[in-house]
Amino acid sequence: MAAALTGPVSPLFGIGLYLDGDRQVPFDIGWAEFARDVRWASEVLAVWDIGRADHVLISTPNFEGPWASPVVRALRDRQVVHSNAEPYSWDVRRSATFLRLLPFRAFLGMSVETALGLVKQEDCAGPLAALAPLWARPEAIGPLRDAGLDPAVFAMLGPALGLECPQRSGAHVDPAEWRLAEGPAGITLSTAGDRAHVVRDLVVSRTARLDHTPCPCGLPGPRIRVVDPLPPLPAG
Amino acid sequence: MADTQPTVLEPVVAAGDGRRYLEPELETMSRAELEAFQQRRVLELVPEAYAHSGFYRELWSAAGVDPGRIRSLADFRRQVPTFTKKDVQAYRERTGDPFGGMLFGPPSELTSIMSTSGTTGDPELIPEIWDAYPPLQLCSARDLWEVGLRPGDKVLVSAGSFRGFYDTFYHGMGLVPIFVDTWIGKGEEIVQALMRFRPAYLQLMMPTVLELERLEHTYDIRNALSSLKGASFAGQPLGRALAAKVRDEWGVEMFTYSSAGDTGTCWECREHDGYHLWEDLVLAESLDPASGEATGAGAVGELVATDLDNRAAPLIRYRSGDLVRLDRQPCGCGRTHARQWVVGRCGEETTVGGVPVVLSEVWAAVESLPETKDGMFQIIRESAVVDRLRLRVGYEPARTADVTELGDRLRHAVLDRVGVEPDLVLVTVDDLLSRSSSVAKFPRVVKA
Repeated sequence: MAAALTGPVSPLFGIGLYLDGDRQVPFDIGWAEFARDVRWASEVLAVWDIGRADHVLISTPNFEGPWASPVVRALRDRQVVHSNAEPYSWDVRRSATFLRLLPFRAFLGMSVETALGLVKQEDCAGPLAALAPLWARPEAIGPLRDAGLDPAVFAMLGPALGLECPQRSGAHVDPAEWRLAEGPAGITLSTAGDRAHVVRDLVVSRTARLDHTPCPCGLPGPRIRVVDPLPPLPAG
Repeated sequence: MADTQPTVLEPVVAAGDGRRYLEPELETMSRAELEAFQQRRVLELVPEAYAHSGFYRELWSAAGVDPGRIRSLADFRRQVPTFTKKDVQAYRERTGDPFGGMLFGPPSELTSIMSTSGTTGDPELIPEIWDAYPPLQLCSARDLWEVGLRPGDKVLVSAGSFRGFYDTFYHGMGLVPIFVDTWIGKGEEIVQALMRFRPAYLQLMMPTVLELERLEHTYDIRNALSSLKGASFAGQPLGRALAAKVRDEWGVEMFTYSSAGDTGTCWECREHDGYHLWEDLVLAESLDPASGEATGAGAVGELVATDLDNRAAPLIRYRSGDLVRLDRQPCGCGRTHARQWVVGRCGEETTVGGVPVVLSEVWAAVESLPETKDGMFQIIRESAVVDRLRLRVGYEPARTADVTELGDRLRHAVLDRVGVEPDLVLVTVDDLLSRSSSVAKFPRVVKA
C-alpha cells in the first residue's frame, strides 16, 4: 500500500502549538527546518553513542510530534529500534512491561506519572538504571533522582527541544536554530534559523539558568539548566 | 526533508482527486484473483514460518504438519492448526523468549516494537519491520481515502501513540498534521482547534464525544465540526443515541473501525454496511468457537486471522476471540473484499440464573433513558455464569435530578428488555470513564 502514497505535498511538516503564558500559539514547521532538527537530534544521539540495534522506549503522545519527531526520525535513520508507551499514569504498566521484557538502551520523554509508577516496581529498578540516557521531563527529574537514578533532561521550550548530553549540565538546544538569553523575566528563546514561525524573546523559564561555558560533549551553544544539577560527590 | 516516496498519486491530485478508490485494481479485484493472491502468499508464508519461528515449528510439529504438503489454501485451512494468545504466552513463559517464538529474524532487524492495548492483561509485544510508514497506520490508507481525505487536507493528530506515531503516515497521504492535544479532558481545546484550523478529519473517542456533548451550551458544535469530511471512531460502537447525535445533530459522517483480528484495522466505507477487511493483507476465516469448523455464510463465528503482509512476526491462523459475521459478497461501494460485523467477544456471554444475557440488549435498555443515553455501562462478574446481573452504569449529572429514582426506572428498563432484574451501581459517566485503562477500548465486561 505504501507504493500508492504520494508523500508530502504540503510545504509544511505540520502545525504545532506551544504555550506563551496561558496562550496557545500555533507554529508552522517547514520541511527544511525539520530536516535540520533531525540532523541536530542525530548529533545528540551520537554524543550518547546511540546507534544500530539499540532500543529506545519513547513516551511522547502524537501531539508532541513537533519536538519528538525529529528524534524519532533520527533514531530510524540510525537504525535504532523504538517502542512507544503513553506518558499517562494509566499506561505505566506498558512501560513496565517493555522494561521487564526487553533490554532498552534509552528512554525518551518520561513523565512524572510514569516515573512515580516505575520507581515503585522492584523489577524495573535494574532496567531503569541501565538506561543511558533516561531522558525525563523536568518535573520527573526529582523523583527519579530520589530513586537513585541519573536522568537527563528532555524539555519542550516553547517550540524548541532541549536535550541533555551525558554531562547533565543543562539541556542543549540547537544554537543554529534557537537563541537562548537571560532576560528580566527569565530565560528567553528566540528564533535564530530560517524557520516558518519566528519567535522573539519567549520566556521559557523564570527560574532556569544558562551555562555559557563550552560543554565537554562537544555540542555547541549554551545549556539551559531547568533543573538544578546534582551537587558534586565529596572527594574520596 | 520530504520522504522520497513513490509518487503515483500525483496524476490523481492533478486531476482533482475525484477517484473513489486509492488502489482500484486491488480494491476491486475479483474473488478468484483475491484467493489466488492469498494462496500465493500463504504458500510462501508456511515454509518461512516453519524455518524461522520456533513457536510455529513446535505448534505445527505437534499437529503433524509437514509444510511441504501444504499446496493450496484448502490444505492450509485443513492442516495448519489455529492458536490463541495464551499459546504464545505459554511458549514465552516456557522459553523466556519475550516474542513468544514468533519472530522471523533477530530483534536488531526490527524497526519498532509496539504493543497491544492491554485491556484484559499485560500488553503483548507487536514487532514490526517497515520502510516508510508504520504498518498499523498504513493499512488504513485506503480507508482514509474513502473518508474523502486528499493531499493538502489538514488533520488533527490522533491522541494515543502506543500503536505508533501517525505523522509520517499522514505525510505519506499528503496530509498536514495539526499537533493538538486531543486527549481526554481536552474538549474545549479540540473545539478551538477545529475552529482555528478547519481540519478535514479527526479521530473521535467516546470520551471526546461526551465532552463535546457537554460543550454544546457553550459552543456551536455543529459549526465547529463543519469542516470535517469525516471522523473515525475506534473501539466499541457508540450506541444508537450518541451515534445519531454525531450524525444528525452535528452533521458528521462517522467511520467506525475495529481490529482485523490483531493484524491491522478494518473500517466502514461510505455505505456503512460492515467493516472492510483488506484481504490482500489478511486471510480471514470464521470458525465455530466450539467445533473449529468453518461457519456457513452469514453465521456468527470467531475471526481467525492470518497476516499476509507482516514481515516480522505474522499471525498464522490466529484465533482473535472476536465474534464476527463475515460477508464476501461485493459491497455497495464496489469493493470486493470481505466485510465483517463485530458481534462481541468470545467469553463475553453471561448467563444469569439460567437466563442468557446479551450485551446489546443491556445496551439498548441503558440508552433508552435520557440520563443514561450515552450507553456507558459495564457488566461486573466473577464468571460467565452468575446468580445476579450486576451492572455499573454511568449517568450524566446535568441530566439527572434524582439518582435513586433513576435507579428504579433503569432497573425496570433492564428487566423489561433483558428479562433479568439487575443490581445497579450508578456512577457518573466521568467516574466510569476514569476506570478505563485503554485509549480507545472501553471494556463492557469486567471482573468484580
